[in-house]
Amino acid sequence: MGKAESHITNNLRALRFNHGEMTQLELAEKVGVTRQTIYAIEKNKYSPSLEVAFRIAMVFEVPLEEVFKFKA
Amino acid sequence: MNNSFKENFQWVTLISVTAIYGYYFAKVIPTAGPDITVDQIALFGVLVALLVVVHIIGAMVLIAAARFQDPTPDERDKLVNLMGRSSASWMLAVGIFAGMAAAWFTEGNFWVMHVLLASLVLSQLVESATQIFHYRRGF
Repeated sequence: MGKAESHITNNLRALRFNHGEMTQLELAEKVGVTRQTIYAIEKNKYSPSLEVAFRIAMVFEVPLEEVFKFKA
Repeated sequence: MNNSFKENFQWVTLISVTAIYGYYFAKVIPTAGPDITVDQIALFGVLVALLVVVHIIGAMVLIAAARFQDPTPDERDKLVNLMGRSSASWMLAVGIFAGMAAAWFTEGNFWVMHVLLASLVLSQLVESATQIFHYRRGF
């Protein structure tokens, strides 16, 4: 079941891998969402709110645009 | 498991509401008269109680299965919930107009009550199905 193509992509999988293979659950707990929401973001099935996007960037200590990219 | 507690609970609701109210309508509609009978009200009461018990047991099982996860809804759960309720409100509005038509065109209270009950049931099914759809498809 595919959704309409999103213009937002992300590097969550790579960032988790580069941060000691952080699990989806660990990231979810740090960000304050469910693990399923992290999974949905990684699979481009959900575009998070600006607040959650910033929280994810803060966990990895990188600018927001290193986590999410917008393709017009 | 990549389904959230909320998504799994919507499956419990969808299946249990379909089965329990499906049974109710299958038993009651063939015996339709002008007015609701005491037996029909008693059956309705028993089935509503059964539905509540099924939901409580379903929630307990799902919470136990997801013991390492917080079942508190996050922002995605809240958005999906809103989309489900939006779809359900349309079904409910249609049902209210159908109930008004039943009040106008039929004798007694049987059809009015059951059209309104059917609209409540269908709106719940639409809400659960819409939520499951958005959880699986993404948005």
